[in-house]
Amino acid sequence: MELSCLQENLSKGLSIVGRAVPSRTTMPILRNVLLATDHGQLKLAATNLELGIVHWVGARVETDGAVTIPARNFIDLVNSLPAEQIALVVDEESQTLRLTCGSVKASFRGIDAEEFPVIPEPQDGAEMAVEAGDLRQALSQVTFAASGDESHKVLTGVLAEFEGQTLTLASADGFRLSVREIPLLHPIPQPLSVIIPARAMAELARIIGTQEEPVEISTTQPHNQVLFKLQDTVLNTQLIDGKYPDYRRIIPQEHTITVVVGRAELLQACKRAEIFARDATNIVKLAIGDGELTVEADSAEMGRGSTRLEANVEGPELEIAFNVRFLIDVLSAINTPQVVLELTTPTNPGVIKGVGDESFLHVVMPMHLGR
Amino acid sequence: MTGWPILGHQLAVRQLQQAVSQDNVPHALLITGPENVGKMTLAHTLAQAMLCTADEDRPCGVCRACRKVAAGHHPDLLVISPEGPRGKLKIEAIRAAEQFLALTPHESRHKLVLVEHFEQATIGAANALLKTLEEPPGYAHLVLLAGDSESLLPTIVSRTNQIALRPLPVPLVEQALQSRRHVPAAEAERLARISGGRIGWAVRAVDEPEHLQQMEAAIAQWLALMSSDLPEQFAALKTLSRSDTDLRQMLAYWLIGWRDVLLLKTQAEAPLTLQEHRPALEQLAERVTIRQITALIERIGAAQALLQRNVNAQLLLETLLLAHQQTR
Repeated sequence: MELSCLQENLSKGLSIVGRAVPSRTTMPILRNVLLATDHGQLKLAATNLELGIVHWVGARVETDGAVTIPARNFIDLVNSLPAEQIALVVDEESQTLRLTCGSVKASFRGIDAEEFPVIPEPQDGAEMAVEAGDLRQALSQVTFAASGDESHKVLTGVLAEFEGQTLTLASADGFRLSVREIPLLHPIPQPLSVIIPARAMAELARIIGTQEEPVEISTTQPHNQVLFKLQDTVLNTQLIDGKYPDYRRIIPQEHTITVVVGRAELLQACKRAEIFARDATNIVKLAIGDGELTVEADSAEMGRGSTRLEANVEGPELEIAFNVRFLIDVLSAINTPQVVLELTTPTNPGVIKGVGDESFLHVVMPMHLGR
Repeated sequence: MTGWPILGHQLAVRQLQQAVSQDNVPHALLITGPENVGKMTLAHTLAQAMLCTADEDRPCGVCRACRKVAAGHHPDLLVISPEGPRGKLKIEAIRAAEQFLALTPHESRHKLVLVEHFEQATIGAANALLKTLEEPPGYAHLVLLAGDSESLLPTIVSRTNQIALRPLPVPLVEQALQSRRHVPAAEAERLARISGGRIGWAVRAVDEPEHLQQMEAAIAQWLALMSSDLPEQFAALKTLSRSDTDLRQMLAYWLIGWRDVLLLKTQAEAPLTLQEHRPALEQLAERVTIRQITALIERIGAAQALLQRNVNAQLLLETLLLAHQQTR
């Protein structure tokens, strides 16, 4: 293998795939990054066997080849180099990568690329596609609600249901549920439902960044992995095996109280209440009265604080308590100016939506007021 | 169908080969048999066959998947074992296996977990595995390796398909040592005899001479212990139980010794395992009765089982030696 490329491009590419390099692993080869020539470009790849990232960098390829190199050292060195051409040469015999950049020379002892896990690649004509902006927003609204409890593995994932014209993403951790629908760019004939690790989805959100081109989504046979194809990057993720709970049964079908309130004001009030709530298991009380909503928190040791907000209230008065962290999470993820809370009693789950946005819905369990 | 590179165990090999070619390998297998009899080799070959990408005659041994299994870094194979020779198989290891199996396979259609020395699993670890054994994902295969099924939880055993491996015929081991390892005939005969048909032990004795030396040291120590007096014995045991000697292995060597004494005493036809120590063994045989020998053999077996349960090693060995004392 012999090629040259620009330091900036290589450094950027490594920063993208480097996120998939595991910090702890029982398989030493996973600490390496794969460098391979591919159709006149340099292909970089890394995987932690849960998610893998492949990124293509423009390069002038003299001879084809592949090698794997210890990721951390290679990335640190490339980042330290001046913004010039980097020449990379692999000695196939000793699996050594030699790097030259201006006055800098370095060499890395590699491991045969054959030993690296097989990285799946999308076939041409991806089965599904969504707008990057939609997906980015949907991920920010859904992934945070996934559980961190590894003993209940399916809940650590995000459910992705592809059906007809719609992709529905849902996640829940037993206390809250986030559901977001986004349109598919072209309808699909066969419905498909998979559970994707939330960590992979969070990484996907990061990689999408500011890209505007549509994201193509495909699966490998026999539905072992899902691939998200971005402009110069492909993220592949293993799936979580199992049956996702029927989340639709958790969504309350009716409510007696509707509260419409400014999103930013409510978020601000919650953040203020959190100062007192964080010492008392994060409980905040929402007192709903005639045309107003009071957010208050009370700490036996510290004191108390409350914010009264003007709100459009329909239905009887109610006092209900929530985990303030959960409210902050969902209010930060909604981007309409106003939100609506749909409630029934202090012990029934509440629904939070953006006013005028039917594509997103959040259900949150109340906390016990303990009186 | 060409053969797997496994010596002996034809029945088990045939059974597994057939399961692989018909793609109906059970989700949970329990391979039992004495130490070093070839359990791991069999399990490893099974894993290779299941992950191999060749169309037939799996494992082909040359495809990328086969080579990765051989090198120990196939992403769809996880091997878990207890920590250290006296260690326990902990619940954390089982959890790691569960995490591994929760995600879909990476390169193959299957995902395998091999659990070595499952008899050393803590109760918690064994119970944690029950859930996975009960409803494994479609692609998941668990292969548990253990000395025997009696020491395992019945709930585990009943959820697995059991394959019992027995020691190979001694001549077969002798032949293999000569033909495959080019061991001189006399040495091959001796090693095969001492191995008692446990091929892994014989191969290890060839590859790692210190392994053989360890055994010889243990036997010499045992003979010395048998002819020394109580205070000396207690002093020796104190050092033994505090050293990092594999006590279970040591007791296994003692058993071999007592078996030979029993053979001498009963004037049986079977050849002695420790032919080299015949005079010392004969001396010992004169001092004990058959009844005493069988009682001792039973006690050593019980002690081996107790060692797995985290008992005080020094105390255990002392009681065992007091039982030996009565033979004087």
